[in-house]
Amino acid sequence: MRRQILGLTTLHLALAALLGGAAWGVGAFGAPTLAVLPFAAAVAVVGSLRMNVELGRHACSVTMVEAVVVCMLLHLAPAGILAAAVLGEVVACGWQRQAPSKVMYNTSSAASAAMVAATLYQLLHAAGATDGAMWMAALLSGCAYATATHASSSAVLAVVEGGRFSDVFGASVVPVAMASIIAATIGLVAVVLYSVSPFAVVLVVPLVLVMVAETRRFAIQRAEQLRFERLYAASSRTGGLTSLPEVMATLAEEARCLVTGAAGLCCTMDAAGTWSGMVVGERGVLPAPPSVVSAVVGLAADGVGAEVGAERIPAEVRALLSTTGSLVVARADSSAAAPVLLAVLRQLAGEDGASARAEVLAAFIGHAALTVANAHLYADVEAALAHQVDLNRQKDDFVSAVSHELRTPLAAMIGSVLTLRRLDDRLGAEQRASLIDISFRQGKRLQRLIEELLTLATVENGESPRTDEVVDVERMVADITEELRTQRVGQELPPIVFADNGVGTVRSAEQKLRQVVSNLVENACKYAGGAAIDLRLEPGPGNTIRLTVSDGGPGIPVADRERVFERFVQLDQSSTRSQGGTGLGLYLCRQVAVLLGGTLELSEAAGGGCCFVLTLPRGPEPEAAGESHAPGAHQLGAVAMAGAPG
Amino acid sequence: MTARPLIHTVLVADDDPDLRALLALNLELSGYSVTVAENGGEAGELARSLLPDLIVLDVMMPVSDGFHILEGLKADEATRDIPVVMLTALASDKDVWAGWQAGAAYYMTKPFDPEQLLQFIQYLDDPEHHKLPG
Repeated sequence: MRRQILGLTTLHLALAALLGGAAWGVGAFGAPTLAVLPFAAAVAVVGSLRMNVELGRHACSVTMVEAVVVCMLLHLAPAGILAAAVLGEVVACGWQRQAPSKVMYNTSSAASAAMVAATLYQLLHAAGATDGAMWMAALLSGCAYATATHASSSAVLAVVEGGRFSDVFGASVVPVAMASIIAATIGLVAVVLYSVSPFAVVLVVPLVLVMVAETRRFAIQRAEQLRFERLYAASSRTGGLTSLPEVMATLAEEARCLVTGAAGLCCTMDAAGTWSGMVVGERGVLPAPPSVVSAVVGLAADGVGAEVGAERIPAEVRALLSTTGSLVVARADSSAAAPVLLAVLRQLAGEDGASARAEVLAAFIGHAALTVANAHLYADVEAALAHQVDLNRQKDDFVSAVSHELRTPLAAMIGSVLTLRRLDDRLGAEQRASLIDISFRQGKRLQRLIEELLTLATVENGESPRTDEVVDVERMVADITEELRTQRVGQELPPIVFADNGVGTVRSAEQKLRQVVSNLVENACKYAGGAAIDLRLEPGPGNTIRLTVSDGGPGIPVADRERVFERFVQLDQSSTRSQGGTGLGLYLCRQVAVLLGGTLELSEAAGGGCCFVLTLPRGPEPEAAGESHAPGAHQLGAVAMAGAPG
Repeated sequence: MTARPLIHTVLVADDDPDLRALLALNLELSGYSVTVAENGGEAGELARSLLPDLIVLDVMMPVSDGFHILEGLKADEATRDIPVVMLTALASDKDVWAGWQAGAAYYMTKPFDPEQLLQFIQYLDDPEHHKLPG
């Protein structure tokens, strides 16, 4: 971009040199005299009275310098015109504290335009020497100056904004041409009046004032019109977007163009009430730093737009740009489709049309809110669809897992019975007993699976059980241990130790609680690797009790601890399969714990194994509260049998 | 082509101890010598070291699944001709077809009648059928 602008500057200088050289060649160039100075001063003064016509992120300025140009054409040689134009432009730019690169470009542009006008005037003037011919030549040359400078600013804007030259040129040509023709005419009138009497020039002053006011109004109106055209275009461009980051970036970009800004910011509030945003600026599209977002949110009132001056912009926000003129903000939250805030940082100072810009941004904010709401909705629908697809897949997996889990025990049962029937006379007593055991064990396994499936149906329907039964946890654990021993004939059971730290009985739903504890104990047996399984009942935080089941197994990595509670997840398929797991056990445990008004979490036991923590509400005090339970550990009867195969 | 030896030794691979016991009992009572494997890895190793006359293979097993073992056996010169009976809870057409394609001699779905397995082995033992499956 910089190289392109440098190229344009060189082009201007080359044009000025070429035309100057040609004039020199024919002896018409002349030499600058002291008369140049008042004209240079006039160029500087008139050139400083700029009216900005806003285009995209930048503005081109309209001046009435053509009036001075016409006067110069009639009184100075090309050398003088060139000198006055360059000198005047440098002073005007310096007055406005423009960047050196800008001064360089504007000056070169003024030089080439001055030489274009001077050369044209020389050519036209040569055609006739009457006053009329001279005036016409001066007017036309003044217009040529205006055209050259406008083409020059359009070219640089097209480069900076990445737009087409013809679009930029066309967008502002009407106010610029109008102002130039009027200015050139006024200049001519002043020259003619001066020839009558130097004081007669005062007569053009009211005309100049009216013209300045009118041109200014026109420039603002034109800017407004352009902005509404952009508002319309911006709305149509953002309508079809669905992804939230893309929506935010596009809204920030559109807002930036709407109010001629250099950086745009679009923020929205998430469900948790936190604002976040995207910024489009000199460094491209980036997520907005939280400090910037909160600073901007503090500036905007709901539903209205506002423009604040550089001095009121918080430092974090100002840091987004190298130079800052003003900040335009608009915010929609309470009545809009979604909470959205748009903020645009302008490099241009904000006095002209500040309220109009604020209004435009406020007009756009409603549409922005709708677009953001639409993106939210789209994301929700997509998530819901993905969830549905996932549920369907889970259901398929479930049917296939259940089918497998039903077929395996059934195969052992039917196989044993068929063998008994076919080979009855050839079987020894021990073989017969073994077949009957197989059949019984696998029948129990089937029974458990069916019970789990029924529980699954209950918990997934969310039916709450009665939780006012008095449960003796120690007795329940003893029963569960005994049951496990019966089921695992021929297999060793690790020692199971129960300790009650002063809780005693619990008010809950006995059958459901037993299901959870039984599952946890059985699960621990699978992984304990012969080490003792510790059950501990103790008061929990608040009015709760806590039952922990710890094993001496390898434990589960932190990352997978929540996954064990998901439906059909078997972290280690190898061992669960052989143990008859369905991938439902822990999922069910947690669901039932929730049904009982409690929670079930997995943490790490002291030795690194798994420690399942079941927290339940204490429930109403049992009526027979007289019995006290002394704290202490009890080694259960089953432990003695653990070492001996059944 | 050499005729397959008559079946004496059978390798039974299943992760369910009861099913292993049930199959072993039935096969032993019919006079076969039975070795059992608890998982896929063990099944592959025993198949290569013992070179049994027949293998009964479950599909869903720890370490390595039955289809995978079957493919390995069929790719190995030494074990290629050992007939393999797939015995699995995977009963869908797709699974059965996958078994046949992988080179299973027979595909039985759970639940099953042990006698059906014995009849198939007797069928293989009949010299007339030596060249048929496998």
